[in-house]
Amino acid sequence: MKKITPTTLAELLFTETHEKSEAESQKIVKSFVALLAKKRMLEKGNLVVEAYRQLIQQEKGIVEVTATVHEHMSTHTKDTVTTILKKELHAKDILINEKIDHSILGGIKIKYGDIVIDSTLLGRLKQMKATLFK
Amino acid sequence: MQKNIILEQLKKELGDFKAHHTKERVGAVLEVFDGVVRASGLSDLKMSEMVTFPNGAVGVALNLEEGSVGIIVLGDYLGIKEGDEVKSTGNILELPVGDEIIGRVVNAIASPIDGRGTIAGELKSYPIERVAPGVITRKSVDQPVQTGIKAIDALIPIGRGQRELIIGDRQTGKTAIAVDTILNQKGQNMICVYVAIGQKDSKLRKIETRLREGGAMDYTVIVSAGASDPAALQYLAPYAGVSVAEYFMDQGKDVLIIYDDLSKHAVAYREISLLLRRPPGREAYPGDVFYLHSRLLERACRRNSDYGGGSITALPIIETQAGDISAYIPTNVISITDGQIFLETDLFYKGIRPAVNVGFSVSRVGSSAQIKAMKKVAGTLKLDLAQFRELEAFSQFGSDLDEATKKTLDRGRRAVELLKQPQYSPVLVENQVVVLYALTRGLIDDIALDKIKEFESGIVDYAQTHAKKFLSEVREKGMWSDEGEAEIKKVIEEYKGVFKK
Repeated sequence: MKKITPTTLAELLFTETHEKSEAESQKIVKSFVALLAKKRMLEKGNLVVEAYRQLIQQEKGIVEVTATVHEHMSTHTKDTVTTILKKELHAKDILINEKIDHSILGGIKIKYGDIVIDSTLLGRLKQMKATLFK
Repeated sequence: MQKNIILEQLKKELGDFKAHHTKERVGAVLEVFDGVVRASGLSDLKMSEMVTFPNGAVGVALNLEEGSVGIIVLGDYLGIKEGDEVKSTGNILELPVGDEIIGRVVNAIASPIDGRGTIAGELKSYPIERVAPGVITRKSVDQPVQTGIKAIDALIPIGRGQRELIIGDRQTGKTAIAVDTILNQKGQNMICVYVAIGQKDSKLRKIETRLREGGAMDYTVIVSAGASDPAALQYLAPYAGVSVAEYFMDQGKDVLIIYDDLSKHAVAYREISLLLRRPPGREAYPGDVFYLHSRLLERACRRNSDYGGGSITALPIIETQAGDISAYIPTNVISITDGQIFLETDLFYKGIRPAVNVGFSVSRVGSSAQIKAMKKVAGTLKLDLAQFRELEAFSQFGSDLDEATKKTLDRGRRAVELLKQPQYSPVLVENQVVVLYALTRGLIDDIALDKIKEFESGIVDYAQTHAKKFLSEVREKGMWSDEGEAEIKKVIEEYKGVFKK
C-alpha cells in the first residue's frame, strides 16, 4: 500500500478545490481537515500547506527561486535575473527570495527545485584551485 | 620581485583556463547512519549513479524513491551531516583502469592502497556494472588453465572461460588453491586478478608477499576491500575486479579472476540492503542475492575472435559452515558455476592435502580443457579412485581379499599418495604427465607406499635431464609421440633401478 505523504494529501486537496467557488472550497477544506484528524496526520498540516502552495505556484507557472548574493541586488539586477530565468524556465513569473551570504565573495547563486546555478566568485576560484592541483 | 615570479608561474599553470558558471542538480542530506545516506531532491538521479558530498566522499545511489534517494557512501561517512549538499556527477559508477594497474594493490574504486603512488599511464573509464557478453559472442571452452595442482589438473580440469567454484569449510585450503594457481600462471600468458573481500589485512599482506616472492606480481592485480572497509566497498569490490579483468579481456588477453570470498560478499550486500530498508528474505538475505552473484559470474566467459577474443576464468570461493553445501548461498553459487572443487576438513586432517573430495567435485567442462597427454593418463584415474573408495571401507574388515581387490586397493592408495602436494609448489603440466603416466601404467605398483613421494620428486628431477624429448613434446604439442613414449618408459625403468638400490 502506497505511503500517504504530505505531497499526496496536498495533491488531493488541490484536485478537489480546483476551479471550485469560495463557498464550496471552504466546505472541502473543512472535510479535508476532518480526514487528517481521522488519519492522525494533523501534525503534518504545515507540510501539506507548503506542498499545496508549491502546487498552486506550479499551476500558475510561477517558479520560486532562491538567489544567494554578496550584497542586496539592485532593481536592475533583479529585473535582469527575472527576465533570463523566465526564458530559461519557461515560467510565467519568477519569485525571487534573496539571501545574503558574504562567503561567496561576489556573483550570484540561483537555486530552484534541486538545480543550482553557481556563478559565484567562490565557485570560480574553486574551479581554478582544482585546475592548479591537477 | 618575488610576487611577479609567483604571478608568472601561476599564469603559466593556469594556461588558458576559463572559469564558467556551473549548473548542477543538488540534493540535501536528510539522514546519515551506518554508511547509508538518505537525501532529498536529486529527482533525475539514475540507478547506481555516483554522487559527491562536501567532505569529498563519493556515494552510489541504490534506492530511488519518491521524494528521497538512498545512497551508500564509498568511504568515510562520518564527515557527512544532515543538511549537507549532495551533488550528482552524471556518471554511472565507473573506475579508471590502465595497463599500469598490473602489480598494484587497489581498493574497490581503483585507488591504489599499496603506497606506491598513483597509477601511471593512460587510464580508461570502465563501468563497474556491465551486461554480460551475449550468447553469439561466446566460444566454447577448450583451452586449459593449468593450476599446477595435480588433483585438479588431472581430475577436475579447468578451462579458460570457465567458472569453477572452490567450496569448503574454514581452514581447508581454499585460498591456498587460489594462490598456487596464480603462482603457476607464470609464462602461461595469463593476467590474474585477485579480489579480496572482507579479509583480514594481515592475510592479504601474506598473500601479496607470497605472490611477490614467486614473481607473480608481474602479471597480477590485487583488488581489496578488507574487513575494516565499509560494506559498500566490500559489495563493489568483485564488480571492480571483473571490470579490471574486462579491460584486459577487451585487449584479447586471457584473465584469471579469483573472488575470495563470495560468502563475505553476500553478507556485505545483506548489510547494505537491510540498512536501505529492503525487505529481508531467507536467512535475512535480500531477494536479489542470486542476481548479485549471477550477474557477476556471467561476465566470465570466453569470447570468440569475431568479438575480440580473450577470456575471463573465474574461481569464486565460498566458505561453508560445517560442510553444509545445501545452505542458501552455497547452493546459489553452485547452480551458477560450471563445477566445483569441494574441500573437506576430514581429508585435510587425514593428511590428504589438497583436501579435494574427488567424488563430490565436478568440472562441467571436463576433458575438453585438458591437453591430449593429460587426458590419456588421467582418463581412468577418477574411476579408479571411485572404485578404491568403495572398497576402502570394505578392506578394514577382512584380510582375505582376492587379487583383483588387492590390486585396486594398492593402486588407489598410490594414487591418493601421489595426488598429495605441498603448498606453494605448483607442478608443471609435463611433470604431472610423467608422474601420472607412471601411476596409471602400473609402473610404480611395486614401489613401497611410504616411498612414493620420494620417488615422485626423484623421477621428476631425473626426467628433466633424461627424458627431454618426452617433456618437450608434451609441453609444446600437448601429446607425446611413439619415440617419446618409449623414452619415458625407459627412463622410468632406469630410475626405478637407481631408486631401489
